[in-house]
Amino acid sequence: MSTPEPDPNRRQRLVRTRRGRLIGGVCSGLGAHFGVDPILFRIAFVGLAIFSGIGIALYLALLLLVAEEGAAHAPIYLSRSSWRSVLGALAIVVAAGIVLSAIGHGAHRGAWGFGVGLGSLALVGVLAALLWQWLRTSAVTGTDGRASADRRLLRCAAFVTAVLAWMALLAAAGAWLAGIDLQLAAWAVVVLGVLLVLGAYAGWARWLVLPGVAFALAVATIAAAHVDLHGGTGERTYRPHAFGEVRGGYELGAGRLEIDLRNVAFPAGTTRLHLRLGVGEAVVLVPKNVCVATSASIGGGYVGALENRSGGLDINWSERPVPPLGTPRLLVDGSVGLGALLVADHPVEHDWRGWGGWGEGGWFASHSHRMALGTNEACLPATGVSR
Amino acid sequence: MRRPPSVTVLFTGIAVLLLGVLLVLDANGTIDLRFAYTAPVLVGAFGAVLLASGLSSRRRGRG
Repeated sequence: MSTPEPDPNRRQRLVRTRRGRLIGGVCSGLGAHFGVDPILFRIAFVGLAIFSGIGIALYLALLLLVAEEGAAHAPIYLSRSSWRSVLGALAIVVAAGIVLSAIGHGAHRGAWGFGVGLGSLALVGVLAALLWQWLRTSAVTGTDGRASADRRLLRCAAFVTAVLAWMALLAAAGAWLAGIDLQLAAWAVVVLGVLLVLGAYAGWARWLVLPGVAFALAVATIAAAHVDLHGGTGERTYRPHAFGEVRGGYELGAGRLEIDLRNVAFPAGTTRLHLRLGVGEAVVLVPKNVCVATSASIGGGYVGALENRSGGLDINWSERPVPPLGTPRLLVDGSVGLGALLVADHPVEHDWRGWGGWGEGGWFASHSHRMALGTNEACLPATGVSR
Repeated sequence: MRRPPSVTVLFTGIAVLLLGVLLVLDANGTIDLRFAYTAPVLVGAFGAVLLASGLSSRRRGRG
């Protein structure tokens, strides 16, 4: 009995190839399937990843849903009837994501938004740990009887994701504790160090290395930035209408602090305004007829005071312009741990998505340097700024 | 026979302990930690841990 000749016109099943792969064999498999150079798919995936991020999601989806060459099933193998349940579950997850995103967007500067972020991180950690456990114990193997390479890759990715998520949570716990009580957090780091040293001799402390380092680094960052989280969280706006309503000092632990002084008639002479913010954005809106001097201490972030600005770490800013005789002078004395201090003559909002560049003035300033904050026109010209 | 201590864990522990002491001194106001001093200390400690771990592996014939 002779076997039927394979139809040369029939397209082969899409598989992720073992030969010519760079990561998971997705692009080389697509290239072989469609008979084109896989470099075209690689360029497309990288382009989609850079410009919209969807390239990564698409690649991961194909990694999970397309079987590897020689393997019996894809890492996620579902029967035809199971697809409906999966699509239903996915729809619910997407809907929940949209709702959470809307809630988080509405309160992204407050404690609730912070809580949503931490909750999402914990959820990712739990899901990744469950996936890792499932991949470790379930017994889907390739035709050679061994777990396929993509399954091992996925298991490894799930493990790394779970570890990173839990390290991030521990780092957040360390940062919060250091911002509330630095003394206690510092002693906790000492205790962790002692436990690691003792555990090295006893042979049980290897698991403590990553959590210990994550916690200690977070505490060190908060200490170096002089972050003080006392004073509450959220969004606070103060809009005094008379000079008598202006407080000497304003403070907030984390969030957005806005002090709108544009309706205040300042008397001649110098008025001091102290403000302290742990993490976030502090905005002082000033009237145009006041000469504004700014003194700021920023652990890490950005300061912009009307025409002048600077960004980076350990910023000590002092700008002391001189007003003409009889013109009121406002001295803004700000202290921000991590974040931005903006002094402007019109409403502004720092675009946090612009952070991360290497623009003039430091890491965080690339976007903010293009932001117009106003002019200090009530002061005499030729005044100095020191940073 | 008693197993030798894990050099990576030991050096990490010593680095975390020293960092903790610096943080206690900062919290007490004895020193003023800033990124300018903290960053090199952390990078140096990380390098020392990796170096000790690598040398220990080579001595055991795993490098």
